Amino acid sequence: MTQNFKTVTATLLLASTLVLSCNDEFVNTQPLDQVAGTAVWSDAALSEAFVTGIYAGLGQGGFNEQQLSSLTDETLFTHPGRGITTITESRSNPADAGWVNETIDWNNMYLRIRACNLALANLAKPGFPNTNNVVERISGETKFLRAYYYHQLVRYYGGVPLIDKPYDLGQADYTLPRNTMEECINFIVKDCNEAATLLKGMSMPKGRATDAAALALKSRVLTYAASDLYDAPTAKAKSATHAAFANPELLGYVSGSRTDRWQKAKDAAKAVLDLTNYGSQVNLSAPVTPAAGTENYMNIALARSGGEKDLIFTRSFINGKQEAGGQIGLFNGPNGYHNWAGNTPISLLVDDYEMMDGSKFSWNEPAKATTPYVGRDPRLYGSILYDGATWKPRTADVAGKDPVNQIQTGQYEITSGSGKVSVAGLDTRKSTVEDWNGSYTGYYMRKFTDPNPAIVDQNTYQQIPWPFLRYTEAMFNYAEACIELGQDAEAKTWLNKIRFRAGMPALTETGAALRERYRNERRVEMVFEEQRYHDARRWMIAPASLGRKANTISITGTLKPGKSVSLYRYDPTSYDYAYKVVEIDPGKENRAWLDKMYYLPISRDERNRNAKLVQNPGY
Amino acid sequence: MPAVNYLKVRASWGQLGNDQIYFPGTTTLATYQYLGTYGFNTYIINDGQQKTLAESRIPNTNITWEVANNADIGLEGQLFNGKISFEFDYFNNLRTSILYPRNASVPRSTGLTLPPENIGKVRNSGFDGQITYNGQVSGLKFNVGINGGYAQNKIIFWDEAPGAPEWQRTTGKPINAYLAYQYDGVFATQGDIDAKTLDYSAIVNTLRPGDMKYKDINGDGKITPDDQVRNNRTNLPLFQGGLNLRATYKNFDMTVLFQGSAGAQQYISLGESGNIGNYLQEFYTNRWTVDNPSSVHPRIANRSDQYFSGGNTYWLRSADYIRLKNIEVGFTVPQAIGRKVGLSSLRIYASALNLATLVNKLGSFDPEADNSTGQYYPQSRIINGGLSVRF
Repeated sequence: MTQNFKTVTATLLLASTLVLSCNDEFVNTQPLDQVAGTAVWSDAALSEAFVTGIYAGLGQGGFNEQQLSSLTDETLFTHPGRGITTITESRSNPADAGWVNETIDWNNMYLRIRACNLALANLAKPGFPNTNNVVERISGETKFLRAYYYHQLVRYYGGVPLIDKPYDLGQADYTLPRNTMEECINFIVKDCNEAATLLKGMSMPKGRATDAAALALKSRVLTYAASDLYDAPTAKAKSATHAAFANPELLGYVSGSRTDRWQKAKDAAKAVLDLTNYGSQVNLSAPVTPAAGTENYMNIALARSGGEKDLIFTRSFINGKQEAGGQIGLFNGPNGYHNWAGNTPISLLVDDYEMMDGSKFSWNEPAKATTPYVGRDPRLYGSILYDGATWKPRTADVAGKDPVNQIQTGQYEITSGSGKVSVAGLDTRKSTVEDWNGSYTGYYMRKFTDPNPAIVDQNTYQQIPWPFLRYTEAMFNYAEACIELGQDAEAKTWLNKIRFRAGMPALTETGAALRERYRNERRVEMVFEEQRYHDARRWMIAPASLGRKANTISITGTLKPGKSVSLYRYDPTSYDYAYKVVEIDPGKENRAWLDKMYYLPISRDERNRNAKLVQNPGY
Repeated sequence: MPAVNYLKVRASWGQLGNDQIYFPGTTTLATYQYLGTYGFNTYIINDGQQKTLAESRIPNTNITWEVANNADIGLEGQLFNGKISFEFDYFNNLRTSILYPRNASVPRSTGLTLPPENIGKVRNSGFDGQITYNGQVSGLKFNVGINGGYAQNKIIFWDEAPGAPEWQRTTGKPINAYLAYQYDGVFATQGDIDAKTLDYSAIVNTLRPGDMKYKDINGDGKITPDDQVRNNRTNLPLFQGGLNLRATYKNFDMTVLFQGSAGAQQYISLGESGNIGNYLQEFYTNRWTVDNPSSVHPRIANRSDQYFSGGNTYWLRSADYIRLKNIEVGFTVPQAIGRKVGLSSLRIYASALNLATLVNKLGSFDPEADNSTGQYYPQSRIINGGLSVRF
């Protein structure tokens, strides 16, 4: 027993020594793939990495599979089940808004705004030496990004709670009411001004915010602020839904002079136009040739050969990091090339391209209606693929059916034996190639798809950047403000610069007629760039534009007497072509406009979390 | 009590901790939730990848492990000299301190990426049991066993959006219970559509014959997402059981296993049927057409592109089934015959796996598959015949 006791005592002693000699460092590990929050703000490089991370809120720019253009009278989305028709058919509601991209989404925008607030709070007392003005630089970028994300919220949702401090966990109250539209605009403009001041004169690498980007964003926001939808009395007069809304200050200005607002918009646009390093071929005094017009236009869209000077703020894509935004050719290209034909131009859009001489296109004039794709605005050829247009080489398995690489969206007669048979084009929904991905509209989007034949869209990524802010947009903003201020001559000077670059003749109208030409010019030049969604709203022309039924082109090629063709190709000497505009089957998409759609609904979940949020009108 | 040979009552209670917490919907362990850390990514600057940092979360310094309280009461025994043996259990497992973020109550305008907190509480309770009878009638020896279990889980507390209508709440319902519109037949004719009293404009713009009717749960005269109802069932069965039979008669022997389950609901989807892929025959046969103006089954849709192609109770099917899972019949050749040819034993048998499904409420799909579009590798029916020989 004594022996046993001694053994036990010895064992216990040994055990306690072991315990005492042990320290618990090894259980307090630090993650190896992350950085402690406290370390970030005492290091300039890590702080910069954090600010660079805020750009991620820009998502894929506008190069998602679903594009904003399909919510407008630009394109129709082919595939079902993506929430697109929820919006185009005016069926959005607080429990299901329909397709809302990550670049718009309330939660995602506020996530990035918090990051901005966190950065600004920490950069106010930087914990590192301010070498080469790094504090001013990344603070300026952050202010621009905060302004950008708030401008996204405001133009999609109306006035939102303005939060400019980072919240901590365990706060008693997280709820804030929506700020007024005027407060929101002022907040965004202030951030733009401060960003422009902080970044002034700094040389920034491509992709980062610059003072020019801040000025261009300010120009956009002030142009919106001066528009009809943002003027509460005008919105009330034009919309019963808005007239019945108890909180008009959330969606527009309830006081102040519109002339003042247009003057501010004009001044802000002029500040961009005065920038010396931007703008592509903006000093022409006469139209270029049609071929040069198409080329100039494509150079800007594809950011090449000097066209990139028009781009003030972009989201880049590189082969080194393959992201969805590099696959726009796959998303939108023809099924006859094994692509998915997602966002396809509708006939209403194609019809709005003028004739090369500046006259309107019309299906009622036989000369135009029988050759609809001849002699049109040169930008059409850089923007849209139509029946008979030459495009990239077909893939090997399809090349035999179309050795001349032309888009085929019609139904054609060919000779077979002693008779004739009708065959469907390769890029239709009756194609022999992946018919389920064919365009409903008979058109495909061409703009932004790199035409380089080495890029096989089916499986190659392209490196075309998304343009958020263009010098040309500021030219339009300036012209619009001038028109609204009655300065038609000044407006035409700038609009004609845009037209000459594209090979189009000068505008000569004045007053309301000039406004109409301006609006169409903006529609055509800025097509697929996420402008139309907002323009149709702020001009309050949505009922008569976005509310129209989408339409398609039905094309039949009939062999001329005595002609014989065994393998189809576009050939007006052998074929008579008939073109017919057809409204899309309402079971596919039945577009309709309700005024609630001017703004997205505040989600039911968010209103449950924050009872102070007033819902937008009509929901 | 002469009939009772053996009887035992037992009870147990245990408490376990769980720190194997995964990010919702992933297989990534949620580690370092108590540290405020920033994670790496990249963004394209100057046509190159620039390293970026972003807040991973707001730290939760109070984080601790989840707790499982497992209670069990059991009764087991034998009756009539072992002819009947049984075992019954009632269990009640209460998991508390389940890590879950307060996403439903903190506004997203805060921009906070909320950490999981120890707030959830889920109960899983039910019965388990089996009973076996061993019998003999002259030469026939047999053994019949039935086993089964009933289990249901229920969310007792987690972070719920306060404004969700009562019939859509998850609290009090099983985990992953479906939220669905309540199917209410089909508009057979244009006359039915003209005569309707409910407003469908929030979910569909043009009603056509063959479209589906829904129930107006909140009674506002409109079909809106508020009319969706949280279901009581999930794809997990409430009851699962089996029946074993074993019998020998002279040189013949037989084993049979039936298995079945009840209470599960499977969501059926026609998925990409249409432009891509075919339709299930039952939906094709029953579908609304001009010549078959059904008031029960809707018209078919292309790639599920209609409002009624999913998210309603028409597509929720009971997955109850009873299946003859396994059967084997054997005959052992009498030893006297076997010896003559130099064998110590010889058995001839036939067996089958998945021979027959007696009840299948799901219809077209395998009720054991748990897949909404039928995209699973099918179970095979195996029939074996064999000789088992020993020298």
